[in-house]
Amino acid sequence: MWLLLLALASAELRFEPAPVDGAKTVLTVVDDAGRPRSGVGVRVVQRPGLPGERQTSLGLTDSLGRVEWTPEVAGSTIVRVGSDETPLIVRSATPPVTTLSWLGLLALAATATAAVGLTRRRTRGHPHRSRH
Amino acid sequence: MLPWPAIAAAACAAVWLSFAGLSHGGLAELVVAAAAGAVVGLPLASLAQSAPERALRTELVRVAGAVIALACLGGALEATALSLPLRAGFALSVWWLACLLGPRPWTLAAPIVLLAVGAVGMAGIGHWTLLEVHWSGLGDWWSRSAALGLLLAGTGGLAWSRTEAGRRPYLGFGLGLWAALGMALLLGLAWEGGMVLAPAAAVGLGGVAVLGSTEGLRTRPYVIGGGVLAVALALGGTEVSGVLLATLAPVLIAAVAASLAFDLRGSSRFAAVALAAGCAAIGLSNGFALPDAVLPAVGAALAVVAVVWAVGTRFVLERRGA
Repeated sequence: MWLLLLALASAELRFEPAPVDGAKTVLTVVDDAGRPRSGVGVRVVQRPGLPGERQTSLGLTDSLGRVEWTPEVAGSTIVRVGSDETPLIVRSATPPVTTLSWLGLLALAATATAAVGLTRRRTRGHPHRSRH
Repeated sequence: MLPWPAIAAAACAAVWLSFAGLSHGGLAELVVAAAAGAVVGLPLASLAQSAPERALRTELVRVAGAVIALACLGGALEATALSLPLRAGFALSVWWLACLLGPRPWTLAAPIVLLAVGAVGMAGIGHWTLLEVHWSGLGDWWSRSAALGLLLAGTGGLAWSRTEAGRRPYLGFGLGLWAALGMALLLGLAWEGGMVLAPAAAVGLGGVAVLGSTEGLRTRPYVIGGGVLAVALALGGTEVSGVLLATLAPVLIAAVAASLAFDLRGSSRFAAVALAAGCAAIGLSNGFALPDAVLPAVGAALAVVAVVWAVGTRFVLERRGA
């Protein structure tokens, strides 16, 4: 077990373990002096500004400044504690197969098309065929 | 000859992906662009290469290439933190430098910039949030992505109508697609990691495109007009350049494609008209700015097909009769 420490503008968030989609993590909110902040509301916005954006209220922190969270999707996330916003990345438990597949196909298409462009055009001796 | 129009189109990709794209469909936007380029742009480019040369069309293509490159640079500058006077001064400087030196000094710079953007883009691998593929809301962004595909393939093909040596439109399309992928990865990195390489890459692509696109534009009206346009687009930012790239450029490609129809016969002529209609539909769909602009755009494009086909058929029949 290890502790992930994220620096914030005016507070700190600690995750144990580091956030991964589908896995439960414990988020601890502490103030600048490192003391837990209890009774503060925590919300998360996953994929902000993108298709599939979802907002979730995690509730209030307990007396130790903790709240549990199970991220539903991987990627960019914003954690809101009061008026403070903290961006973080939720790592994916499995590789993004669909995105990787499309990326591979596009790269293959680009390479193949450029390779075709480097070949010389077939020249015909009689460009205009006639039946006469 | 180097793929200047494709570089401009790749810069265009950078501009659009920077500001509006990717946040809607992610990598799906590039998939639509690649499909549009393969289905409409590349066949059109091949037709253009096989069509007889026409002075007016060649000039039109040269001017269009420079205008598209300037629009790309104008949009790319919006991504920087430069103030308006600095932005305008930068765009004007690039344009005048291009006019003074011509395209030759940049023949080495272009592939280096393309390769650099592709290579630096590798730094974005692992940052997938922005690139996640989403097909929902396809009706809102498909036409813009399709216009990007047209620019990647169509402008390259039209500009290369003079070359007979190789399948240059394919080379331009492939390199442009690589640069666009690099930009997408860089933007994914910027979204998750806050790195600001993407604006620099966009400006680099736009600048090189402008420097290379001045070929054939040595006459004074073009030079002065291009300078004024560069300043206007730099000040106008992405809104002005977006209209130019998303709406006017596909319509311009459609006009050139329609002009090809009169020089071709049989199935090639029909293909040119159909491809022109496709380009017009994409451009008009962007231009209507309606929630569901697909039907009116397709209707307008079919009208273009009907008119050009009818007029072209009559013209050919009269010529045969004479």
